[in-house]
Amino acid sequence: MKYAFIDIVRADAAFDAFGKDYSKLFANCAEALSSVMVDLKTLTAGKKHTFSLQNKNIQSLLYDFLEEIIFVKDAEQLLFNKFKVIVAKKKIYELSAECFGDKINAKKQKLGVDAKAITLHDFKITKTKDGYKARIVVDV
Amino acid sequence: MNVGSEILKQLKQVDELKWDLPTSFKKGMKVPARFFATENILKTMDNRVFDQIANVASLPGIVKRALCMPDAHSGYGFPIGGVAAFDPEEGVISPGGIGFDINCLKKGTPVLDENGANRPIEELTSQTLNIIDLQKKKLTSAKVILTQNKKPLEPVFEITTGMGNTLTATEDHPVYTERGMVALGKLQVGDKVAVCPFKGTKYEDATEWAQKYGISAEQAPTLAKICAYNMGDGTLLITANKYHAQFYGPKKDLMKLQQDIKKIGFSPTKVYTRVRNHKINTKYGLVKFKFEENSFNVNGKKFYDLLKSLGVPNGRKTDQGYRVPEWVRTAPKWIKRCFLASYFGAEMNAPSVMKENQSTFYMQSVGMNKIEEFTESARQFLQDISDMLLEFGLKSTVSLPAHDYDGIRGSTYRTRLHISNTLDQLRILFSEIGFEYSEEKQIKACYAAHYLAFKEEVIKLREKAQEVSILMYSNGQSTTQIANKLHPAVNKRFVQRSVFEKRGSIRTPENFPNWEEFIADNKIGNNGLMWDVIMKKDLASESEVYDITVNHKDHNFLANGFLVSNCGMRLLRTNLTTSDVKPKIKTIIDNLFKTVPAGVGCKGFVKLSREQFNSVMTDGVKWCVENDYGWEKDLNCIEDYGCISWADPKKVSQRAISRGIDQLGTLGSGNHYLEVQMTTPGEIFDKRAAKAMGITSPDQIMIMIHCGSRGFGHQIGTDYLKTFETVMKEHKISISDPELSCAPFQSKEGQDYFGAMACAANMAFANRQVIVHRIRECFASVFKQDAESLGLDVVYDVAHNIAKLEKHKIDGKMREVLVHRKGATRAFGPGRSEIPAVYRDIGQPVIVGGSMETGSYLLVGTKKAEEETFGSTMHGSGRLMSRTQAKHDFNGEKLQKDMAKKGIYVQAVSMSGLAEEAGASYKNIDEVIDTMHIAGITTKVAKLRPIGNVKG
Repeated sequence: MKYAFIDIVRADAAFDAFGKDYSKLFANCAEALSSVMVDLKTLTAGKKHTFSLQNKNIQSLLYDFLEEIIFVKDAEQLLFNKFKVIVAKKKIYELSAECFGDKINAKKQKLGVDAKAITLHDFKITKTKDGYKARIVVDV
Repeated sequence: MNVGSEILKQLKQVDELKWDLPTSFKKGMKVPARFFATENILKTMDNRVFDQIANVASLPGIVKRALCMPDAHSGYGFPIGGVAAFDPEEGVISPGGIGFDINCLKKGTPVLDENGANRPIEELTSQTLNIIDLQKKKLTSAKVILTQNKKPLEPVFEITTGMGNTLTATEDHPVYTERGMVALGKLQVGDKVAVCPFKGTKYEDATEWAQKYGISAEQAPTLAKICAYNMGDGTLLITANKYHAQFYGPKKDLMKLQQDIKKIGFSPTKVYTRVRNHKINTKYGLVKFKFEENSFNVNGKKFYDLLKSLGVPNGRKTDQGYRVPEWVRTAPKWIKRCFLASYFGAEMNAPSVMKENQSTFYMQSVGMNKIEEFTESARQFLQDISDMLLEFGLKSTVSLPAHDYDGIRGSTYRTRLHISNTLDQLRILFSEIGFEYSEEKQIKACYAAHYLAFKEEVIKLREKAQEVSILMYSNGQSTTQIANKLHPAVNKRFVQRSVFEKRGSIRTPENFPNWEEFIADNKIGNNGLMWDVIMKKDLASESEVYDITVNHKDHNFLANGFLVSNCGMRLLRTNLTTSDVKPKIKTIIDNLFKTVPAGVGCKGFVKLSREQFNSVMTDGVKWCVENDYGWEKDLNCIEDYGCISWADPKKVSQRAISRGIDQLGTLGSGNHYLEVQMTTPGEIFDKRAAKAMGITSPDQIMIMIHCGSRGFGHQIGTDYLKTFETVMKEHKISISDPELSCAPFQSKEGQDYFGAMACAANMAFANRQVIVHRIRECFASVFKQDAESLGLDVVYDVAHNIAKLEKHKIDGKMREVLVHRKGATRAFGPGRSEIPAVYRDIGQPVIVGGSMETGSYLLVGTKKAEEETFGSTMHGSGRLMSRTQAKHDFNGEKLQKDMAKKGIYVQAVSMSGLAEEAGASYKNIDEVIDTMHIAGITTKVAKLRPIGNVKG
């Protein structure tokens, strides 16, 4: 299972995402976040957004990664449904991401609710027997 | 999850609608929390609300109580529907000197800690400093939590005062003057600035010495003070196998001593007062007197043994010999000071001037009484003190013993130590050693030190004048000419005496103020602070300045995490009736749906350049009016007139600007909306207030907008969350909830955030304004009449996520506090200057939105709100059900159809979003509104029912 939405807050959207390694985990978090904002099936690929980040703390890196997706949504009106993420540990954690999606179009896409920010509520990455789990609460 | 009964049990019911959560609920709470709610509402609150409001109640600087509105539900750090006020003043002494904030000072500036030791600012780590709470005008202490050094980017100034105090700091360093805090850069020669005359003694490392004597270096200064006091005004004794230490003195002094005893881990008893009768034979005859004696004990062998091992004598002091303990005699100078100051606090006379010459001080002395065989020991003890004083440059003499009195046990002899009372000697004693525990003596020491500095300056000036007179006379000038040149420093008589007489020492002039007059003219409050005058101000070149922030229990903090969306509500009135609008509602809503962008990532219809966006950030609605997106009269009916003045675009990141620049003129999504509403008969509750607000008919169309600063405000919140996180991590500030990240309000980060938040608020006001513009265009086109003649006026616009500096009456006094309202609306009563003149008789309009199915309310603020909730009330009805559950339980398309059947026409960008907004997922708004109406906080004016809605 890539991610599941959970009922822990009243006013916002919360999910648990999973991945066998950090790269998969991050990609699944991004997908879950996007699914809050748009029905992923209704999004066609047409645009790509690439970026890279670094951080010595893996949780901060995840925060920054998801925050970039929210930022791009507003700054460039782009939403994504497919993510290729590579997270590697060198001296610190390094991330490179390719996000595939399209310009927001209410007529063509089934839009959900606008994500305003990633909150710190219960924000953490934990190890599981199959890899990793992240709990994210999105301010919508 | 709804709140559990264990939490409910802890609530104390104040009255039908008020419940208090006491400070015992959670460790760290500084004030209680008050809930405004019916019992039913309380039971449906989620349990995290209680924990979160308790965390808010633990924030430093919080005033009176934390508040929860009836629509409260858990948020991030701060509950939504939470209100709290904080003290914005920071009074930190820049000790031994000028100014009242320890930041941006040059390297080497001495800073005084709680032990009277001073060290250069760059050496501060996490000491506790003595500070003055300017609001309460009392001495307190605070721990250093943040030290930074940096290259000053702003100009650095150096000022020198009349009494020889200097300050070198950046131009923005706040200095306490007669006009309040003023930036150093703005001060001028002749301005009066506040100084603390007590400088203390230079700090030196005490580890080696402490190790040698097996004493804790950290506790050493406190131990020195406690021992000294007991040796002066206390006893160690054993009675019936029980061990006691007793301490005597004025109650205030004893209370401070108790704090120190607690600090080293012991428990003093409380202070007891008793009246004692004394009868002794003195050289003046038999003297009988009664006096009130205050004392407390520390019982137990452990404390007794500790003091004894430190050299404190047990039993009657007059009947035995002892010295100043060796560990004190060999201690670093600043620890010696602790001992001396404490001993003097107990035993020495307070500074006072002679009756015959009120600008000259009596000698300062201490005496020691012993029976005859131990007078030599008294001499030795006082000699020990005299030797210690020498290290400070103070000369003193020990007298021969003199017969003092005959008591029950025989004759007692008094040996005295006198400290030289020359001007410079007294200055050292008062400004470097001072008095511990006796606040009265220490304050007098400050006043005396300052007065003596003044005296010294005046004498120096006159000495100079004498020199100049002699010189000028020898150059052929007459005494008259010289007097004219030197006027007003000295008069002709002075010149003549200088020239013709061989004057010994120069004295102060005849009109020199006596000590009492000087104190009255120059003291600030009653804590030893005095005014001093700036004599010189120059630009200085410093390559490094030091920035210190302290954690003061009364120190205000600005909490982040909630002031981000600057969400608010705006209400428009119209001259239209339901019969005018209902037939055309579909056209209107479809039009607005097309022209007001809504939904995920929507792009605004106002295209702005970077420069224009900057103007929106600083000018808010003013920019809109100037650019034809509004009417001049709109400004009057918006909170803060639609433009918050302290907005600072420089404090907003490029990222936030990039995110926000395309969003002016967007509705957003989620619980944001644009709603066309109607009043109905029987639902106008206050005709007078309604009329003032433009509601004249029980069948009138109104339009409500709920939205905020969109991604822009959120990005600012995210940016500063990171900044504050770093600040707090670096300095180990622990807050129980990472989402309650905060920074001291007066710190750079706190002020930057305040300025950036204001930009977001202005953008939110502007956003609602441009949407109003679209609404006016729409109605004008549908009704083929201009918006003005349709009466499309703004009733009011309120923010419900914001922090404002406001004056409130707290415990009988007007105070400025930083009020935080998260998901709470300001609700000022009649008479407040902040509300527009047109509403000043009735009170501030309050707009509270309900769900899209139930309708909203227009209310008015009251004086009671100002008294009980810092002028605040709820903002909406609060959610009952999570979005996930609502999405599961309801279907957007079906909901839309059902609402149409009920006469509400809805257009939404997202059907799943619509489902999440189903009425059943919100609390009953009537109950929430009635709670605050019955409690007298906000009273109902009108209920507004929806007939058309645009959602994102």
